[in-house]
Amino acid sequence: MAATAGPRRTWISRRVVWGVLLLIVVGIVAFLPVLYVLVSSFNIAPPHLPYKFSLDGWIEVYSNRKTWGSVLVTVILAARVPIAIVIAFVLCWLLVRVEIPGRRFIEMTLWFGFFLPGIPMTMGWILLLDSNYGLLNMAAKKLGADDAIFSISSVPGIMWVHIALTTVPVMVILLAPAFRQFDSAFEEAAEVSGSGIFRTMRRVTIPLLAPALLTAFVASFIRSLETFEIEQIVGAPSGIYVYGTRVYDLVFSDPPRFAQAMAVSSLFLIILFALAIPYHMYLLRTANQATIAGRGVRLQSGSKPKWVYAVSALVILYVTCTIILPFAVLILGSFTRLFGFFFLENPWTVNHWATVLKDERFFNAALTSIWLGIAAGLIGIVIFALLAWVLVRTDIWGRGLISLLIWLPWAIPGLVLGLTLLSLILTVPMFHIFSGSMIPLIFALVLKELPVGVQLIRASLNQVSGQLEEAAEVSGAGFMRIFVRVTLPLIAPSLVAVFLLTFAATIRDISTIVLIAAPGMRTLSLVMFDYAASGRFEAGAVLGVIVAAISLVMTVIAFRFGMKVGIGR
Amino acid sequence: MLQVRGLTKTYRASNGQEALAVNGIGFEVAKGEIFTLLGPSGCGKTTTLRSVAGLETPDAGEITVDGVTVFSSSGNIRVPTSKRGFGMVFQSYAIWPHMTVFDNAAFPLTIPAQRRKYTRKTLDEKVRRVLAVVALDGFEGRKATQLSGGQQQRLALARAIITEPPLLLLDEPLSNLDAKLRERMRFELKRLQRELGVTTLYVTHDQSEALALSHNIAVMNHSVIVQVGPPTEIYERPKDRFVADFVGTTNFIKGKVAGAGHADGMSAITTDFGTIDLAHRGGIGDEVLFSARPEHIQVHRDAPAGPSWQAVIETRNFLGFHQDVELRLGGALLQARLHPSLKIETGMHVHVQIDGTQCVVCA
Repeated sequence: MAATAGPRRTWISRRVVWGVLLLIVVGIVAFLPVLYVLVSSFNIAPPHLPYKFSLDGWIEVYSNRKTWGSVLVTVILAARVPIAIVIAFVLCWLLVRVEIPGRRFIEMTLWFGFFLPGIPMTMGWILLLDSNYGLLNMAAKKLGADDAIFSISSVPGIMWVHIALTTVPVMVILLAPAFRQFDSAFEEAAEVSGSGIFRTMRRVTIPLLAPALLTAFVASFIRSLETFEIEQIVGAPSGIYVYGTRVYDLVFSDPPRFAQAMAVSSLFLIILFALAIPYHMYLLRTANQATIAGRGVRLQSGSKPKWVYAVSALVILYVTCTIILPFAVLILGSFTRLFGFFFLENPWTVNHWATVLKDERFFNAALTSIWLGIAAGLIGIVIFALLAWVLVRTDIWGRGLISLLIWLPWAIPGLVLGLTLLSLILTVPMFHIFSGSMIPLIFALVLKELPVGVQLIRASLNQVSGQLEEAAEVSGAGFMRIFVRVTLPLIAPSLVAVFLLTFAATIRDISTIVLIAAPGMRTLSLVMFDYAASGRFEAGAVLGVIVAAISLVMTVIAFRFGMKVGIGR
Repeated sequence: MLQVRGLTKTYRASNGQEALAVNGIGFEVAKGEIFTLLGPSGCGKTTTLRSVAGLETPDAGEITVDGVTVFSSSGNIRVPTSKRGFGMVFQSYAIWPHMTVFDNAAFPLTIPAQRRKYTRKTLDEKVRRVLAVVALDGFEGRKATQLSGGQQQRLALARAIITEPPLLLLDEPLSNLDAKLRERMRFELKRLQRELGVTTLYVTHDQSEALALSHNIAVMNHSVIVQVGPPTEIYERPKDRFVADFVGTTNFIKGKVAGAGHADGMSAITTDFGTIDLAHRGGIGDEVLFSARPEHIQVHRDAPAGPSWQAVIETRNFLGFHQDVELRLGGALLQARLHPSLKIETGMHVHVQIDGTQCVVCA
């Protein structure tokens, strides 16, 4: 393939040059925090003093039983992923294939659950499941149970909150588009051949959807290792630690044990790579297998069997209990005089709402959140779209490595990412100028959303025929014109969806920005965190309701724009 | 007008193996003609077309249009696709779904190099005129997605010809249409091409389309051009077994040269059912394979004048404007195309004549 191509620059060298450049940029951005984690796990000097190499951090932390306990609990909690994938698979199948009545409501509720911030929803679950005053436990006692039957401050409790609020909704969101692209003729052919529902599912549906299922599984598994907020609120008080909270504990102990925290983080980065590399190799191997060309249209039969209505009722009950109920209880909680005490004499008040809304901090925080969300969302989609385009449409050198690197930010706990950036700002002279500005926050948030953002835009670019771009090229259009006039408009729905995802992530994020946000710069979530940390749960609940309400609006808009990306239909 | 020389392109599959898509092919297209690349899928015809468009970069070769070299591996020249100024219709049409019919057709004129030539008004007129040429006037404001397959195909054509390009590239433009529409569009395309006088490179796997439309055809197989010539020559004098088989329908009959040396270049060939005289120069005793088209096999209910053979009708398909039969002649099963008025039935004994002057020795 030598000696082809252009006058001065040849195409071959161009694709290598661009590939290497992009690899360096993505590599630095994605790999720097990882490198920082590894390097500083061997540094026992305090942050402002010169580097001092030692293995003490590793030795101390791994000789501590608490560390191994947290590893064990993390692994046990990761068992929610296989449980959730079964639930999500059945839900997707019911929503897309059976088209059960009420599917729009069900899917929208799941999206709503996905957008909802973790802390307030966890507060809602505490109101329901707390072993002392949880509403469901009180109801159970009324019905004759001797003792509290539910306990949120337990491993099953934490697992339940995760399955209900994060794991299942995320998986449905990841799997539903794959189901929709999947031509139902494949299944119909099996049915015509005399195969029943379960055989068809086992022999046709699951094998063909294997790549999508595996992606959802690996992504959720990695994500499950990283979670922090729910465990911190529910688990830490009763001594249940996971990887994220163990790191948090070490960083915030007195004196801070950075080396140990980083040593724990390193272990999980190693686990991540052990997972990601075989997964990636599998994807490369299956990439050019059966392209699932998608009409995926199934002509709707006039009448549905009766069991469909029963199933629909069950699913609606499920999403109502897991998402709407805790939210409703949270709203009630924000109107209680004393958080969680619904049965005092005269329990209701609007005082907390009045206090929060009058607080000057609220107004500033709302503005900060919105600006930050818009900035991170806009910068995010431009970067994500360009990266996705390069990965889908060009053959530049090192694409495989780049698409692997893009997943890295998933693995780093937000807290560690924040800590890394904070250290960079404080130690690298050039970066001083960013101190106190929004730039490090935007950087961190965009980086955090990079894996999902690129993945979603990539998926929708893959559906746009390359001939549409080639037609513009033949018509005489240059790269920028093609990108702006043809590519971007065609993937607009997924761009809107990614923008909303980034915006919502910004609004609810705590762990990534809590360390780098300058003292005067609080987002709504941070103010909520401040309230909750200082024991003012009622005011925290009020802000939680407000943040959740914003999320609800985003969900509705996402639905409006998102038809083509497979959000609802 | 278009010259392609020594074009070679290799693909590297994901398993690391290299596959030759085009192997050193060359051809020449005269100004104003329709030149067709015809061949089965995977023969390299689309790669050739895309190389001319600039959408693929060949490994070697040279492409010249109107004396301007747009690609040369030895001269290190590669004019970008967007600067070549050709028109192209894609197999999928590639109509932009987010634009109106008007915007789709007008797009090539909005490129700065073209835009300068028009005022808002003349541009508008030009687009309307081109849409009228492809019978899409009145559809300007429609969303492109609201068009039928045939309309999308015509819109793609309008977009390709709006800049009056010197060269029009058509990549299986009719293959996504239904049979009836496809036949009508053949006439449309031919009429339009004649009116515009645009040099056209046409890619298809459909031999009847190629025969109907082209001034010249290059039949491709396994990454090389097997035969180039006008449709009648390709059909009547196929160079080898592949061309005879791929273009049209034919019967291959085995035989042996029995008597050669006729003054007019004819040889007597013995087959397992009898002897036929056909154009061939070869040594006595050579094994040959010759092609006899179904329409050159005559079938009679009663013994005709001149030599004929006895055969049995095995199957009969009545198609309206003709009828196709399979008949057993000696050990061979032959296809013949007969006039619909001939009264025959399956199992009937008939008399067969084969016109030797129309048969071609392929191997």
